[in-house]
Amino acid sequence: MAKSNKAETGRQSKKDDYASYPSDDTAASIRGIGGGHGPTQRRLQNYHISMIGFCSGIGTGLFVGTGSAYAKAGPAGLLLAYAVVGAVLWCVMQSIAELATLVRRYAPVKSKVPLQFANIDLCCRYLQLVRFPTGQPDSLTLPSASALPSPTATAIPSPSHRRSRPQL
Amino acid sequence: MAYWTDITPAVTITIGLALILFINLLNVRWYGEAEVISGAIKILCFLGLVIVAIVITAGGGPNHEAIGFKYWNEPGPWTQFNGISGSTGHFLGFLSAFVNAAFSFIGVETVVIAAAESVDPHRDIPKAAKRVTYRIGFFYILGALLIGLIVDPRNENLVSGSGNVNSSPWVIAIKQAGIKVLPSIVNACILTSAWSAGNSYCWVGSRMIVAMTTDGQLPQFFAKTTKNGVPWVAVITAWLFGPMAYLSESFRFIPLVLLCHYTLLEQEANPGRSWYRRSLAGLYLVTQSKHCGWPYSLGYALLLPHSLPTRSQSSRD
Repeated sequence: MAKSNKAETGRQSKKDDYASYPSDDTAASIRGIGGGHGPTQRRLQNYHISMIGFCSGIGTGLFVGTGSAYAKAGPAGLLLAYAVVGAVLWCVMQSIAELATLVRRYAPVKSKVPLQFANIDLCCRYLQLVRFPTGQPDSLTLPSASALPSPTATAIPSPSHRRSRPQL
Repeated sequence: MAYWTDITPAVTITIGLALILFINLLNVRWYGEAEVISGAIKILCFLGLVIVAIVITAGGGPNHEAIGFKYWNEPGPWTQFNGISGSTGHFLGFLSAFVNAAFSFIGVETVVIAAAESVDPHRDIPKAAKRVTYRIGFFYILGALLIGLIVDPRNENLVSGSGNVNSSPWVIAIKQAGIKVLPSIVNACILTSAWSAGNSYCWVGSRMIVAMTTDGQLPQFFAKTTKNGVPWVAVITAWLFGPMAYLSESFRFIPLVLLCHYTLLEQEANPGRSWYRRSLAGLYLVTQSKHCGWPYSLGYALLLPHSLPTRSQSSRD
């Protein structure tokens, strides 16, 4: 943990809300290795994420597969099809990215909720988002909005952590 | 590879698969580095293709024929799909291109799965999501526009079904213009990016398996990690879909992936469907594997629909 702390302290930007998180071991461990989804570790740096976002998955689909689409649709058809699918996917991407990093907005400063943030349980995120404004107690076992603000809450159970195992 | 030699594609596939397994068993940082390097190759290759395409259109190629928007006039901007004439045929052609377009866009969402292992996801993921805008504009829409300029849609090689680089519209255009060395270079780039896409899908598949274990949909055994945080059981499980590449002989991949994609899209739209019916869809995909198939898409399509929609169900108990 000390190692990760040392490696990551230089990364806080001024705009970043991270300044409001407590700089205890928990917060440090989130920013360093460890604490990924499940037993995985956080080791992907900024530039990795950028490149994964920009070109990961581009393969024969773009370089070769376009050919058969072109033969079927012609120049205008191809351009239009790509523009339409691109527009749909753009919306999808903005939404998933929003969900993947959702807890930030709603997590109280002192809870350990950030341990669970940015995993890939998008459905739970969506339910959280939908339920938050109403403030109703949850019929699901999601970390409900009303349960979050307790500063003594140490580990909030979420569906993704139902199996008891050491957090981190 | 078949572009250069008569060597059996099995050799290429074996080397590629071994490399993929090796990189995915190292800690996730090395997957990131592999993506950075292969991503740089993809960007450079595509930039090169854009420049070449503009030069070809303007008549700078060895045959000095300025094409301009010739193919938008000569066969016209639309094609008669299946010989159906009139606007019905045009519309059907446009509609069928959707399928390939959706296929080409696979992989855009990888970055969200990387959120789970990012050092600073709250800063990096939104940034990366914004970059997706440029990605779509640069690679896909600009690419589609340029292909429309440089290749005749009636060209037979486009639908030759050879499945290798010879049916790539870029290579066809370069060959037509009479440039000698470039097709080889493009082939190398395409090979690299195909490998890198396989690498990504293997990684995504393994992380989906891990997510399923944390939701209690798979035995905890699959979430076993090394001390570097590599879920090695999940990686090997996802990788085992890889040898299906041998079915494909020459990287032929399109029909299966289309099926995968249909199922994937359909299932994401129906989160309430039972596990049983999802499995049936999965089995159906397997029976279609004779058309296979860039195989990771299969693994990916089998795993992704099984994991995402069930979240809403599993959280109900």
